[in-house]
Amino acid sequence: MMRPQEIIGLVRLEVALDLRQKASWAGMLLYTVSAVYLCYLGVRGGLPLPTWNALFWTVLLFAAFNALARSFQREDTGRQIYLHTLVDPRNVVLARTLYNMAVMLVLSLLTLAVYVLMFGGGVLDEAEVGVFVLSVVLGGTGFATVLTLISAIAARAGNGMGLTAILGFPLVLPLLLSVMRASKLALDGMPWSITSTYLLWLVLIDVLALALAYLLFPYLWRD
Amino acid sequence: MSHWWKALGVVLLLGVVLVGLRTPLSPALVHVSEDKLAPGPVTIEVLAYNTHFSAKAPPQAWIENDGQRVCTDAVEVLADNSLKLSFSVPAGLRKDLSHLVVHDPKAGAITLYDAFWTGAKGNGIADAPCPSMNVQANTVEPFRFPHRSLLNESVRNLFFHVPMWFAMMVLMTISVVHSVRYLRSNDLVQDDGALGAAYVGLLFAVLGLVTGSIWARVTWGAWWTSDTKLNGAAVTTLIYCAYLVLRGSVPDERKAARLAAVYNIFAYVLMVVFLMILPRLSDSLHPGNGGNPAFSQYDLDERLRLVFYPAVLGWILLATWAYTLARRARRLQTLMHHAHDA
Amino acid sequence: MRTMRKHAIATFVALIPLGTFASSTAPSWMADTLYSSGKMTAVIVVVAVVLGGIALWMAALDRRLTRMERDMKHRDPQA
Repeated sequence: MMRPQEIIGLVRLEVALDLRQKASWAGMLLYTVSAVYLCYLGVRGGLPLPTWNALFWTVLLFAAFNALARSFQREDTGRQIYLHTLVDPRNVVLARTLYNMAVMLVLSLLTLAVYVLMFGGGVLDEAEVGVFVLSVVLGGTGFATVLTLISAIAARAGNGMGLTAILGFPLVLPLLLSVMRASKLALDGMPWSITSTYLLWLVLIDVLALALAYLLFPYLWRD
Repeated sequence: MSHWWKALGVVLLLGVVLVGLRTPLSPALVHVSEDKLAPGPVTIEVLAYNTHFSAKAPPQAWIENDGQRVCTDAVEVLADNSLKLSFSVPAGLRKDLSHLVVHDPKAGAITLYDAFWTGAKGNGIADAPCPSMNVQANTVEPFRFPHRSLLNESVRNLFFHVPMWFAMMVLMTISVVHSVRYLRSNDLVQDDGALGAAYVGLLFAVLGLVTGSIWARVTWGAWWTSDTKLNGAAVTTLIYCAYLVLRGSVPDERKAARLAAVYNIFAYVLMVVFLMILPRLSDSLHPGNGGNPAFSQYDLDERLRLVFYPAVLGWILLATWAYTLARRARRLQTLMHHAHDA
Repeated sequence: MRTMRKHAIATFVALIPLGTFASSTAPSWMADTLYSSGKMTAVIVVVAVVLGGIALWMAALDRRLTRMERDMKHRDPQA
């Protein structure tokens, strides 16, 4: 049963747990900054717009995999069973996904900031900045919705990071293609009427992935 | 267990191979040596495909422009499939693009649309019917496949490449239905079905990719391009490879079945959404695309359809037979394992 | 190294006829289609034989599986 208080409580739990393990947050940020810096060192000069866009999404994709693969790794079996007796597993996955979406929101904006800092924001001069930022955010949250369930599957299979990447990559790829096209159009300065189609589909896919995760998660949770 | 549908599938496929590969293409004009026409005399060499021009009954030819005709001064048959035509092009043709029409007693009327470009547009010419000749009307039009300029003979790949994808989709649907049933019933027989269908579906996906790649090399010039359909195909293949990797990485049978079933359902729904919707958002090199991911009227001529639909049915039946074999083999394998342990 | 260079030169020379595609004259493959030289029949026969062979192998597998299933039923009726 979907009880809002339960979900909010679970999200609060996630936040508290994450704040306690500040190391994981720091690791995520360090990864992002290092990745951007590495790309910057490799490229140096001015990047043409499509490359700028593609490189940004590549960095964000790997940062997302890094951040989201850990989401079900934290508890061991004992704590899992305890959690299972307290709350409906569906609320667990919903809460985790919502929390991951928030994390990705922050992470994607942060990555964008670091990226613009290093590669220069000249590209953004002619862009529809609002729509671009919206596409970045929607892309990030899209990763979260799809990858949360995948990381749950991978965690239950016992091989977290590697399996999340293998299972998640084909599902994230079409999402990525759609959002890359939307963000490139936004950078080109295309009006909302054109970019909106892609972004609406992204929202649809997010909702669909959430619904599927809600329905399927209980089967993962039993043992 | 009834076997008639298996034999039907094989028979259909053999028939498709016979008819699909033997039916010749319609005669067509392929190449003209001059494509810009200026007023005055001009001699053009025309190359045709699948024609049998004979000097004894030479064809008639004319240039057609906005319904008006410019008749040839002379027609010389150079070979079975090439002609030399002499025209006196008048000034004042109405449209700037003209068609070339060759009327052969054996091949019928063959048109090369927009064959010539003339610069100035005029008010029309003195139009007179070309001198008639004894043209034997073909009483029975032979069964021929249409000739498409880029595809030529490779249109026959239609009967092999496209049905692979249909068969794969059918098999993936079977697999996901089994996965759903497994989650509800925890009956391992369902899981065998899911795995067997996934294996055979993956085989057909790979075959589809290979046949498509070869076809692309011949017609588009590249083994692979960034095209929505190709991306969708690659994604689907990757999803089912990942499915098999997931199964392999979990040692416990029931746990593997459960996790794999969840992934199968998740991936299938998302895949269906991607394949149906994303192609509509963009253009593509694929024939008959550019908005509609399904088969459009553009490319599927009546005569092609006559062989195409049986081909689809034949390949789907063959694929389903392979899936039943895979499922039964796996079932027996697990049974024998248990008998061993018992 | 010498043989490699010879191979490279030979390949280059062999590919020169492909340059005919670049010109505005007619493509050369038109002259010898599989039909006119009668090779199409060979292709059809080969494909039919391969398909037939695969079908026969699948039928044999089918029969073997049916036999094994029957044996299993005999041994363990509950399976």
